[in-house]
Amino acid sequence: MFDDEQPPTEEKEPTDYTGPKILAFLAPVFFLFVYLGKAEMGFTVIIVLGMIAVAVYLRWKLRKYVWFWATIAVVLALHVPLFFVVRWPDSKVPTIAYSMPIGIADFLLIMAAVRLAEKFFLKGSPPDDGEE
Amino acid sequence: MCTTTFAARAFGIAPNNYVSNYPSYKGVFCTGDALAAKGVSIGLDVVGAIPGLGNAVSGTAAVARAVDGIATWGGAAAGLATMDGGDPIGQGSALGGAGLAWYNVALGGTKAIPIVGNVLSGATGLWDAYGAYKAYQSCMASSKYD
Repeated sequence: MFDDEQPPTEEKEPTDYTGPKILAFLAPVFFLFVYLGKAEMGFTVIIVLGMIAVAVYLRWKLRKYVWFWATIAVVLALHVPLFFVVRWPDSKVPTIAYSMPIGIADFLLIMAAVRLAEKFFLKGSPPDDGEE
Repeated sequence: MCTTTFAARAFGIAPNNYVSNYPSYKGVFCTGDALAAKGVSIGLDVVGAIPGLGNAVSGTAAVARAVDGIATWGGAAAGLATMDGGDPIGQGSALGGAGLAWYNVALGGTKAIPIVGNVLSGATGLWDAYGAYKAYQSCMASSKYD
């Protein structure tokens, strides 16, 4: 009677290589800045570009909307002053200890900006919650 | 007058042209110095940047979704040790783990966690590797191990 029912099996999520793929694009950017003698700025740039790339990847369903790309462009433009201001400390503390929280905070802000734009521009449309 | 200089002159050798026949281990020592300065940081970054290794993160996120996110907060308390798939050294970045956990809970579980972690770790790895290279270069330029 219940032969069709099978015991639930634990599904293992496949490994997502998006991170390394994004890094593969970012590495040449960093090396370019190193070549130009602006390694510190290059580090800031690749963190910002990386977070924006992840945000774009996660909200890829919105790629057909011009406002989406406009939002990304505005977000990127707002980051430009940071490239000249941010100075990374050279201490014994592993760099990841401060780059990780700062990067995450930046990522959350970018995602918030995209969500805000989405709410503003897609007022009449059904909510799009299946992006992540 | 120095004995060496005296001896050199006695044998008709210019004392300033002395060339050591001993191998120089300066490069090795400087590599050691650079690794001592940046090794732990680079190790952390490498572990965090590898999806296969770090993406028990995905598993952590799945558990968090299933359990209700509390597990992720627990992971955050333990730092990246949980968030980054068992990386014991990653505990130094508990704040980052907390941020990712917050994001996970706030948005109901996402695949952003491992990706953001991988990208940030990889980018930081590039920066740390550059820092190690600079440390090595400055050591080689100095007379520290001459």
